[in-house]
Amino acid sequence: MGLSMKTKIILFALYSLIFVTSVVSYYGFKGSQDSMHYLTIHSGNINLQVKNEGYHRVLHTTVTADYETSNRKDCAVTLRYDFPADIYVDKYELATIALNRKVEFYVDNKFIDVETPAHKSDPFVLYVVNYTLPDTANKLIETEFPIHLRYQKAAEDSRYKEVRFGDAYSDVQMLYLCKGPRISNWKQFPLNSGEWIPASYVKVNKDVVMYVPVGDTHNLPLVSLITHGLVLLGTYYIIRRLLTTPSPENPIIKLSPVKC
Amino acid sequence: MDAVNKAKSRFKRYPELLLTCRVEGLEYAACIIKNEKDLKPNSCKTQFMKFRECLSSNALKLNKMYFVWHTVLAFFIRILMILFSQWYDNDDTGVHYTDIDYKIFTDAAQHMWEGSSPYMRPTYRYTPLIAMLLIPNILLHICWGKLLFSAFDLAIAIIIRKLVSKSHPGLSNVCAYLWLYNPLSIVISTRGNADSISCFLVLITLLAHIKSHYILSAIFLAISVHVRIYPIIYCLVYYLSIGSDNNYSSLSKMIFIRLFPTRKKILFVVTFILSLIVVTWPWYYFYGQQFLDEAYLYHSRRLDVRHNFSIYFYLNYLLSSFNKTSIIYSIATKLPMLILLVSASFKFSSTKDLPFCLFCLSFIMVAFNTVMTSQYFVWFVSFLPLCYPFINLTCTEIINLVMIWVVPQIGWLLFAYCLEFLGFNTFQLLWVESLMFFLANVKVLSITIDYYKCNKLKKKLSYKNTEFTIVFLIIKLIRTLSHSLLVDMSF
Repeated sequence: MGLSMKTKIILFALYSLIFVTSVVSYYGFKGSQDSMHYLTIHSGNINLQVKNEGYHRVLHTTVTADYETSNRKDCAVTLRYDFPADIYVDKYELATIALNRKVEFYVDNKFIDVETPAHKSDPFVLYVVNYTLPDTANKLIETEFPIHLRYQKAAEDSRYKEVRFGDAYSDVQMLYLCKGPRISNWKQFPLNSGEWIPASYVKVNKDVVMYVPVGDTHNLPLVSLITHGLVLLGTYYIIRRLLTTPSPENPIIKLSPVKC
Repeated sequence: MDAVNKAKSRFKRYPELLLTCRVEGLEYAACIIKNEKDLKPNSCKTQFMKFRECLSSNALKLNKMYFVWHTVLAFFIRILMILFSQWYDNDDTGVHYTDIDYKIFTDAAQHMWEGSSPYMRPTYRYTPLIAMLLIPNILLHICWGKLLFSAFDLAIAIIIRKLVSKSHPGLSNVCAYLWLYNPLSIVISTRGNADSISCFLVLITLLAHIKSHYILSAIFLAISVHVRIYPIIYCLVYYLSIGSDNNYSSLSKMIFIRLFPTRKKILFVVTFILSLIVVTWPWYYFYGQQFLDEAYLYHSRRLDVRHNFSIYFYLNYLLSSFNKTSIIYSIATKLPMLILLVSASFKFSSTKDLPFCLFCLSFIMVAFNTVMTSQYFVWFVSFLPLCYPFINLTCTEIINLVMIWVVPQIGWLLFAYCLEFLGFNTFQLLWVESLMFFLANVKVLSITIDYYKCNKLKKKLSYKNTEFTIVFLIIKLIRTLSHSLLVDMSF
């Protein structure tokens, strides 16, 4: 016995409704999945610490925060450092470090001149991306990397130049993005894409102060005089030796060295 | 003493040599026994000559064998140092054993392998040839370059042996060992510094030149200038030394004749220029002006304000703060070096003095340069084994000389450490130490010149030239008189 046309139409409408609602609910579920990955920060601090002395230092950064997260592996946290011209990082040195740790380093400048003094250099921005939050409670991020201080202009009145970092709000900023585990291709969310959320309420707790030795410009006349004087003296001394030394092939006095 | 030492070393090897030449020895002994009753001076000459030939040829073989064993041992030491560097540098922080330049070479090789320019790596200031040679660092293993530089070290020792064996066969092995076991050469190559390649090229140029293969030496000189620009300072002395082994009555005559262009000299210059173009042009074609800027022009205008061994470092630093370096300053820093380079080139332009001349030129270049780092020392240290047989210094004097050179360096390094790693302001102390080191360099060079081929003794004698000539004539007169007297008495 065949179904009536009316029944067929009702059944078709019913199946269509089931299909449409299934599709809509599936995509609706997919769409709502993003909201399942979250990082809520109630309050926090960025703590900067500089290790070592001299021109080669290690910048240790810890972000402590009162936060909630869907999963430690769902969110990436980036620290943005606005370094002054007094400081530089070696991109290739950082690349070696990135190989051994779960961090990535990005520098906005294509070229950082590691040889120029501070007064001939430019400031730059460094991004340090961490893809996994540490297991420690209240500690959102902990990272360290080498920084180097540039030579400073010689000065008249002081023996050290003060290099201060972290005193302005913009010196170190934190950004985050929650898109699920790292496997979901983070590269599609570049740091300048605007998707990263700045954690503006997480601020630097205490700035770091470093001292760089500087030369004394008062010394210039004396240094110039003595340096050139000694070079001339040395030149004269060697030339005198060369001129007074007899020819190695002296026909009258033929001596050959004796080795003991 | 040389003869005694030679004899001693021969006696030590005699049992081995006699065993090898036992047949010839027995033949000679049988001949002696046979003619014992009527032994005449040349009765066993054939057997004796055979025996002697066997002994000398086997002694040479034995000498070569010792050298091969020492080369293997030296290579083994280098491999151990490379393994040590791998272990030591495993830690990211702290001072590394591997030179920063080695990392730069590897990065440049990576760029080259990816089809881009090696100059995309900031501070790569060498020929692309080095980056190309180090591509296996990426394909095979990171230690490839260090092994390659160590292999060049061994090649340098072979050339040193060849060069010394011409004048002092008995000392050829010892001189080669001076390079093989030199801590500086071991450290430089195992830290991954490419200077062993340039030293090898410089020495092979010298070998070709001494053997009068001028075209070959011009080609090698061009390659060495292409690899590192510093061997350009040897061009003048190589030119002057071609066909100029005669003595001249006056200085002006000597200068004129040595500068006068002969066929061989023109051929040498033309070959050098053409070879330099041939080896340089392809890289210019691929990498353009950046290649010339980074590999060559940078070195001529370099003004490094960071601390280094140079006497000029503090002055450079202070001047850089005023953003002005006058033309007078450039002349004042370059002219003394230029004068010394030209003077030394003319003084020791004879082919026999070429190794010593190249040593002096390299030493002057390093000591008077506006930038000086410890890797530059290898430029003149590579000539030391060649000069050793000609420098008449006792062991104590050599130790004193080394101390004069090393002690200011230790002081400098101490203050440099305080500045760089502890952040103390030691600029002025460092400057004083660099002055001390400059004076030490001047002293070391002048002592070396004094003791080269007994120059000091000759000088003393030539100061008393008149008295010497008179004494010489008196002795000659007495000898003639006594001889004639004896002749008269015999009648």
